[in-house]
Amino acid sequence: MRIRFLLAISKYVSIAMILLILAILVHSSTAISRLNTDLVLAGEIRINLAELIIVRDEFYIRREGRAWRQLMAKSDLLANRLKQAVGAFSGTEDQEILGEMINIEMQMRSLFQKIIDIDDGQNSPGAESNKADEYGEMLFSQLLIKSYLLHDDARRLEEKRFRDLALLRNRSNWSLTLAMGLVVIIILVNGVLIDRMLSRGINRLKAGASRIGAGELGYRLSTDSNDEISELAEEINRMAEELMKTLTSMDELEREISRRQEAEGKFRNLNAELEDRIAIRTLQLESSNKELEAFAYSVAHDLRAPLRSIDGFANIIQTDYARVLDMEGLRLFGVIRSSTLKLDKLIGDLLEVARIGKTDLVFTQVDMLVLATDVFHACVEAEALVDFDFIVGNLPSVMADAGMVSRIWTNLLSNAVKYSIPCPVHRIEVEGREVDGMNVYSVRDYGVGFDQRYVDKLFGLFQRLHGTEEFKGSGVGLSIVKKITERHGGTVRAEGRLGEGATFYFTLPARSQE
Amino acid sequence: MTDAKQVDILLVEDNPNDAELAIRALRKNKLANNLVHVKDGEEALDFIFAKGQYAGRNINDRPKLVLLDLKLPKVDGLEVLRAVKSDPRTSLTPIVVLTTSKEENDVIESYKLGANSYIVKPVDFDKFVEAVRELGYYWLLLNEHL
Repeated sequence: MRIRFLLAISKYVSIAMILLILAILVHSSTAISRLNTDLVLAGEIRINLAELIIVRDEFYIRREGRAWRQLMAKSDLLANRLKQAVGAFSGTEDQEILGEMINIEMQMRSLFQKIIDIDDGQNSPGAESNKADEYGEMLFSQLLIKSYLLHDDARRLEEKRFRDLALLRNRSNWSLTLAMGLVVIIILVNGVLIDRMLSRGINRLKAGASRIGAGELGYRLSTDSNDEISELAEEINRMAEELMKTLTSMDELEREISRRQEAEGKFRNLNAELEDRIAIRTLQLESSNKELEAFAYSVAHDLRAPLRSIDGFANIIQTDYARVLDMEGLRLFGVIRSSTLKLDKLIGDLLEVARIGKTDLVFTQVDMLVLATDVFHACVEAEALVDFDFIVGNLPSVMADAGMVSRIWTNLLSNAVKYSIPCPVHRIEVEGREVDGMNVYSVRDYGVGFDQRYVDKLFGLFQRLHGTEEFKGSGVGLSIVKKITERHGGTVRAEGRLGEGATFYFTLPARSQE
Repeated sequence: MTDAKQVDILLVEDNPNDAELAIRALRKNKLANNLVHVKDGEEALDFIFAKGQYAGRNINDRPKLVLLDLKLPKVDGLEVLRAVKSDPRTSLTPIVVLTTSKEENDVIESYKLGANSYIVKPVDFDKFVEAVRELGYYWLLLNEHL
């Protein structure tokens, strides 16, 4: 049952009871006032009767006209009152009494008339006065009895009114008490019911709310009691659900955060590991670099000493013992000496390559136009017999190690000259420009060129695309170019076609002059 | 025989082949008349400072030229150079360093220690003869009356 319904019952029952009590009060008060009127009427009848008896007694004594008239007036008054009472009093007993009273009153009136008639006869001549007196006495005694009867009846009427009044009062008191008691009982019962429902429901709500509040978000309050508590429980359940959703998203957020932290930690570990490995590798590299340096040093010193002996003593034989050798013997010693020198050249080149990796770069502003032109003339001087067209375009200057850049030009230009000599076109074009922060320089010739398929071998150490018979060289020059550009943070590449010449490009960072 | 004591060139070279070639190169240029060849740094110092096996020598009889190889057993060339150039009795002795490659740090270090010049020992014997002739004449003639 719903609490609001119980409260409504209490309210409406109270109102009804108050209306009932009011009705009882109104009803009893009207009844009482009517009874009072009746009582007054009954009292008047009794007083009227008493006056009538007094007037009768006066008439009995005086027997005169004035008393008679008074007597008749009183009698009329009484008759009127009785008629009035017949209309007013409703009880059967009342009507009987009143009927009897009216009857007695009429008998009295006729007795009065008879007494008047006797008196009138005495006053007239010839009448017997003693007889008349006796008759009159008898009539009066009857009249006396009748009036007492009447008086008794009037008293009965009045007493009945008093009784009625007391009864009415009693009854209205009882009904009022009953109504009040009923109201109290209904309100009390309702109150107890409401109290029980409320306290149970509130306890339930409280228990549920504290469980939810303690974090048991999956808990749901029961909603089967079909009252306001259930509605409230539903609201709390909804709230818990919302809370759970919010908490779930917060949980997910937290999980996401911890996931990311974990990943970050892993990432950091990985990074640290990587750095350790890099450090180890660097150490290994440094040690192997040192070994390489030591190797280069020993190559330079220890390998060259026996070479010097070979060449020196072969030379001694050639000069001091020419007399005991034939031409072939002398030629063979010549082969020994030229091979020795070739080996010496190789060792020198190897040392140079090693040195490029080792020496610190000294950056200066290098005027590439001047440098390339000077280097070109030096290269051509070695081949004094051949005329070359040297076409120099724009060559941006660059911040670089002048000695090393000079070696780049030397290698590229001497190659260009070397491979152009057997060809009809003796033309070398040099130009440069800046592209995306890099200076790109190119050297183009129209010499023997190379097969683009072997372009990868071009820059390798001791790699050659031509036989040594055809062109001199140790196969180190271009690898030196590659090494120098790479040390500067640049690149080198080549384009070529067999019989049509080659173009070599190298780039150097276009550093500012700071 | 004061002339017998006069030493023109002190050759400090451990490699016998290199020494022979150097002596031959000097001889070709007629510079090897009064030449003493020692085979390590210790012997070189003994000679220059007249001690050990050369204790009978007069320290003031300075060689006109010392040809000093840098890579030597016992006491290496740079130490010999330092000792000679830091002693006022010997510091005026001209020392020409013999080296394998001109681009080595040894050359710079030698100059710092007071070397007067250097000869790169080329593999090509003809070039070596040429280099020895130029330097030998220069120092021997220049320092004749020092």
